[in-house]
Amino acid sequence: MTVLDRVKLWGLKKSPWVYHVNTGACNNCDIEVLELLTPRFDVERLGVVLAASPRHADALLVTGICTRQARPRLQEIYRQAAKPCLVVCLGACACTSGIFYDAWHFAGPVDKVVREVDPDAKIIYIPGCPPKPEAMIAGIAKALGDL
Amino acid sequence: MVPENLEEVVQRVKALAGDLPVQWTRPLPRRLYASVAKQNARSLAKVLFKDSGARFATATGTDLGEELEVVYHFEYDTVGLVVNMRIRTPKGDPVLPSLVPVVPPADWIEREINDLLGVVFEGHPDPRRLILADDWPQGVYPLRRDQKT
Amino acid sequence: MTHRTIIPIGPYHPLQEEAEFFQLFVEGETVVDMDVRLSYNHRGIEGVSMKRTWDQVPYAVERVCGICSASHPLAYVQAVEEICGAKVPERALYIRTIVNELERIHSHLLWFGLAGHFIGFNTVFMWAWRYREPSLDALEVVSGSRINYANHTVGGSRLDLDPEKVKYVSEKLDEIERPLDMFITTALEDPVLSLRLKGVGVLTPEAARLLGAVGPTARASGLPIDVRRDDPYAAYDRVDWDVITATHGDVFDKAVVRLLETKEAIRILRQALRDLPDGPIQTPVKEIPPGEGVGHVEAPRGETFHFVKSNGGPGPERHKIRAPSYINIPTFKATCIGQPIADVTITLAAIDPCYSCTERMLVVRDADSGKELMDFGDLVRLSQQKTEQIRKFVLS
Repeated sequence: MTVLDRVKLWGLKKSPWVYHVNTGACNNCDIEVLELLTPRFDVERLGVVLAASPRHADALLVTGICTRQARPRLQEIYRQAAKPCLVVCLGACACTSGIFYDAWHFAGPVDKVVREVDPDAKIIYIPGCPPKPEAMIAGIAKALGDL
Repeated sequence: MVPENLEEVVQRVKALAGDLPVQWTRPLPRRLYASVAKQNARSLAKVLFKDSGARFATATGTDLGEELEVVYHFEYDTVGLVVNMRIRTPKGDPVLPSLVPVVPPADWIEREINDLLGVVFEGHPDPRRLILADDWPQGVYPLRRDQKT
Repeated sequence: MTHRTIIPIGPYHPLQEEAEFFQLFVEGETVVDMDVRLSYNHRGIEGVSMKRTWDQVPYAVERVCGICSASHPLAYVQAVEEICGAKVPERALYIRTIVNELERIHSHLLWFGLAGHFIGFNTVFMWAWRYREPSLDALEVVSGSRINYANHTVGGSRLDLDPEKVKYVSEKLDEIERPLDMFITTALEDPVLSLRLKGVGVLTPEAARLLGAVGPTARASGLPIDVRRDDPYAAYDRVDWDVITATHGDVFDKAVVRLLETKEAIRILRQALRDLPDGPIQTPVKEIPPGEGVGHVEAPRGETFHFVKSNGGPGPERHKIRAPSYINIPTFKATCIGQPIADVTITLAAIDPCYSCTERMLVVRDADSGKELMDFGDLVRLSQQKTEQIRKFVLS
């Protein structure tokens, strides 16, 4: 099965609602997430929908380094999200910290911040700066396929 | 080739500054630096912003070791001239006059320099924290040299 | 006594990717005051810059903001070139221009799409982002990445263009130009768009001048300022182009300015691609002596201003970064006061605020009454409803 077949399969099985959280990012990853909605990639035909609230989310798309100010809010959003909830660390900043490892407002990385709330949180990593939209789709498909 | 009215603008600014004790340097045709004592900062800012119509761009705060420095950047768009007004204060007396009463758009950047460098801008109408987190400790200034963050 | 409520804008609306914290104070349906709290997006990138070497900094500052990703490194390298006196080869100046104008196209079309969504023209969103793709493809072929180009370096350009790439970029411009022309005509003539956006969010020339507004936000109010012409850099003084201004300073004019600037960007690009001179793309720079330099460029949102201090060391002693949104966001106070709430999202969007550049933060604050407040999604819906009402009125 190609990646696209698998995506279509879980699109049929399950229509994942994803909630996008920016914890202090440069916006690149965030824009590429929006790209997924546009005609070229059009993830809505695959069943992926952007949720308006974390309470309806199957997955959190997290970008950014998790700044000091964002930290409590990220944890609050994770708590509010319907469980089970997949945390997708999108981009180098969310995966590790990217180039901001020694920045004074860095309070992440994202996985550590989420695990403080839930040590068993399901977290996947899609690296890139930013990851291309194709990479995001492939990453999410792989993660949902492995679940 | 430097346009003729660039020189006119430079002369006019210097003339308007009049007797104010300003140390002018001009490393490049379109870059003018004006060092002034803090007690004269507002007067020179008025010359630049109000009397000669410059646009306010931003300000740079730096820890120089013994002193804290703030350079305010003004621009004359019609001739592409940038005037950088420099004021300094000893670290032990980190107080400068706020330019906001004369240059309203300096509001945010003075608050930011206060957050990051610990300069107190006397006369700032709204000296609240601007960019550091709510739980960032008081008295910790990330742009200070001795700050280990 | 009218009841004052606080309406926070944000936090995590799917189409407003960044976090920002605006508090709007309303009496009835009218905005009477506004406050902004930054911090959420603040990463401390000026500190990061100071811990890097001169040639590492461009990669760091590219990531100040994803959409103005070519503008920040260019402003930085120009500031450093002022300090060391490096003379950038002609070919590199043209390549810098090509990368930055391609960025302007993708940025303005991105904005146009978002603005369309806020007022309920979702076809505009889809159209604008579809025709943005050729500019991203062009950037990917030129630099290897759709965003974050890693081109600008102290002394020149890292990337070079062979004839094949030049041809590819020209073809991509062809793909954008005709739909863009058609769209500009349609947008200017659409009665619903006119009624919806004209007279909304007006920034007077006096306010624009006083607050130091830059970019399309200033030019839509009639201020003829553009760094590319006022303090020319790269190859902007070697090609023909016009500074676009409008007169009313409302959201409609801001949209028109950006659309026409996109056309001008294509015009600049065609000349730059045609006239690309031969020669090296970098001048070797061995060290940076002590000194100070200013580097400013006209990013899509307005002037990006960098100030760099060197003490002769391996990296900047101090690197000040001021993005255009930092100086433009406060104009929102001038434009939103007196507006109905339904117009707030489009008025704010009209500044094209790039929150990463401004380092903003988002929190939901409770009104003094403790009542449930509107969130950003509600505000967008209000805005879209207003458009619907206008559309019904026009079609009736």
